[in-house]
Amino acid sequence: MAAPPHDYDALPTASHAPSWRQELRVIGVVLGFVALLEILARIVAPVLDYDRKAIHAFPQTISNLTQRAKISGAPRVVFFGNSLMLRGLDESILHDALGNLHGPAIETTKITPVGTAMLDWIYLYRRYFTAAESHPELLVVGFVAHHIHDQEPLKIRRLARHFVAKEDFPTLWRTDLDTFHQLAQSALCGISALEGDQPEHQMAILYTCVADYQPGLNANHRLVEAAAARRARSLAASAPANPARTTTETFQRMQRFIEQCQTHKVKILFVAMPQPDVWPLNPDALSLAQSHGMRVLDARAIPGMTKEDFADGYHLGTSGSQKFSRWLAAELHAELTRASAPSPAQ
Amino acid sequence: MLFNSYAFWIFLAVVWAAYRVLPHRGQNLLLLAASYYFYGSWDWRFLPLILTVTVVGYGTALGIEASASAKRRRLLMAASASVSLGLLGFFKYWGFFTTSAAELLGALGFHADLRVLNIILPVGISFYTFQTMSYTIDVYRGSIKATRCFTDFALYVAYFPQLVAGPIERSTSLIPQITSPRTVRRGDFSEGLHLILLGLFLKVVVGDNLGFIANGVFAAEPGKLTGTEALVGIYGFAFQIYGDFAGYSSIARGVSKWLGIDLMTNFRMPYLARNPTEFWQRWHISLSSWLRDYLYIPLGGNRGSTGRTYCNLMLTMLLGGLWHGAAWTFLAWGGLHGLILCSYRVFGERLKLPGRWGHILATLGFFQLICLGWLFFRADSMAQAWEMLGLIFSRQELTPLARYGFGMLGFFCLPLMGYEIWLNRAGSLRRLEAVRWGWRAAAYCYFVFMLIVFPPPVFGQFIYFQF
Repeated sequence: MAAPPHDYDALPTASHAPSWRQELRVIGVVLGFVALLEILARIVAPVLDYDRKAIHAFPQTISNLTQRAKISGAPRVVFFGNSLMLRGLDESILHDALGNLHGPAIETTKITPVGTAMLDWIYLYRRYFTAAESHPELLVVGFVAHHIHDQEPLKIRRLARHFVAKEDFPTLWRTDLDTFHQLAQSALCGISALEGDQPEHQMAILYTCVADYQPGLNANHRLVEAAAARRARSLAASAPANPARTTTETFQRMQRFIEQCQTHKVKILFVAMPQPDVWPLNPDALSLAQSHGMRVLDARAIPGMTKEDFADGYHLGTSGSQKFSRWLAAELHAELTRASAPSPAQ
Repeated sequence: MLFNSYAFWIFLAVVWAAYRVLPHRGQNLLLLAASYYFYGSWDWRFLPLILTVTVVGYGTALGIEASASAKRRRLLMAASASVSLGLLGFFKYWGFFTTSAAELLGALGFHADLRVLNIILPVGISFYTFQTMSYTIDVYRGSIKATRCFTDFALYVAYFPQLVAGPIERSTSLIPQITSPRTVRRGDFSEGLHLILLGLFLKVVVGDNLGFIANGVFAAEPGKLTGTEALVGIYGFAFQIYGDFAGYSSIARGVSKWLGIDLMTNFRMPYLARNPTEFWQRWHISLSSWLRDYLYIPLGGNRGSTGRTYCNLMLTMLLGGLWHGAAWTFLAWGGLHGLILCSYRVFGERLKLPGRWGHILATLGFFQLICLGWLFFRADSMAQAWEMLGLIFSRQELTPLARYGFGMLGFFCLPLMGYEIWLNRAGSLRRLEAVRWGWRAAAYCYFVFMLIVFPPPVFGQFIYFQF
């Protein structure tokens, strides 16, 4: 622990410290570099991955649906949600099955960005279904338990970049964000593709540079999550039961989503999606949907669906998708028939 | 308010703008108010605590200086140290010592119902307590005159860039900079910019990304890891703690530069050290030099017998370990470094490796010893540390997690180490400021690119806030 041998903090040569002007030039180069990165990020944004391609095509997808419906005069059904609906539903099988049932003709499309949940859906709908004629007659929303409650964590970058319209940022800040950090990050992501699509850029580079990036990352995530679960269990075991401290699921976001659709006279059909094991559906969510006149279809235990019908323990595989699409066609047929049947008063 | 948060930079911009237009006294008052706001933004309930430490330090220093009686000066010094260490002991060590005492009594067959309080540790208490103590000791020794102006002294204790995680400043260096008017110096802006960008890179890119890996490995259940994965976790933690702490210190110094105040260097490429003596001249310099000046040398340093020197070294390192936290793992870390230092005193000269390759081997070899220390420092318990150590020597297997971990270490740390070797060759931390501006711009572009594209999956608190 002797004194340091020499002054590491001095400039290594007799040269003068950089001047203000020189340093401003350095800052100018850095700012130019960031601007260049931003331009590049905007250029690659629509083709970053399958999901980005789909998101960037949403306006076109919705416009195509509107055009098709105008020509055919058939009602529009939008399959809404995330990768569960994206990979679970085969539209051609659904149409074939509906045809076999002699059901009414419908025009359909999927709006299913991956990894999204109720808050994303609220803003996504507001941003992309802007034209008065763009609203479908029926919105079929696929979900599992955590997608619909308010306790689902936000993915701010994605939400702010791809789902929140510019005019909705004040609502987002007022209603859904708690901290200044979130507010600042959402604003940055709203204006910058470099910030908003950062996770994809990071992943693309690390995939290329780091061996076994994805399996290693997954293994790391599993260790962290298992430890968090153990901590939660030990906390729950050590603390006496206290009803005030138990987290209850709330459904404010779901209510907002339903009311938003109702203002555009869009009917929602919620679909509790299949999983390898039957999952608990919160009765509060069920009664909330029903109190607003919306139906919840229960696909948690479709007859004949087995664990082998799932591709990765979460999403449906090919066989599962076939079974689900046929099941949904039958349910839709019943729903559309009921909707088109004359009421007793008529 | 973390250095890696947007709120801090807005706070700094506001403070800096007001600071530039105020006269010297106004600047000090502004910095004091900003410092209390900064501290209160964590938990305002601890403001009275820092005020108490300040009032006691201020009053006793004046008393010591005014007193002609050596006995009275000693009494005042002891009273001041008792208050500082008492508060530190209560907040930081009460739980540890009562629990350990109860366990010991239980093992001896006695039932002891010692009261364990769930005390929240005030952020930065170890840092400002040590900083205040250094002032009182310096006044007692006559190295510095007691400060008459209370607000200047309060600013010395609470100066926000280094309040919660150091560097632990010396009164002889910081107080004159507070009491004298500050001028805008050529080079402060560029050095500050360099320190801040490097600090953010160290914290956000290196520390937090590798922390995610270390946290995963150290959170694994017994039997779920291979030795290679354990090794990845330890190396990951070595760079997490370095990135985290050196990053904080660097940002603190950079911010302070922009305010015209120099803070001491806390890290100088520590993982390029070839032996323990060199390591402690490079790692957490403000603490190691504090322990040297206020503990090791007063204990007798190396002025007594060889045995006495080893005792002093061990005691200093054990207390250094305990300073980090109340746990046996920290004591083990301190003890291990004490043993390494003692062994180096015995064998060091005989084990020196000559030549360039000798230096490289010594650096790589000594890094393994540092990592052995980090294993104990990071482990949740001694049992976990022993288990992981056992795994390293028994179950080597290159799993996907291990390959990913090594890949991430290479991706984030190799450029950093290359940069440090380049600095080390010049023996300067400021070499980048002396090169042509284009090279500096290229380096900053790399830092900014990494900051934008590689923020961690989870933003981490600064580890040293808990110490």
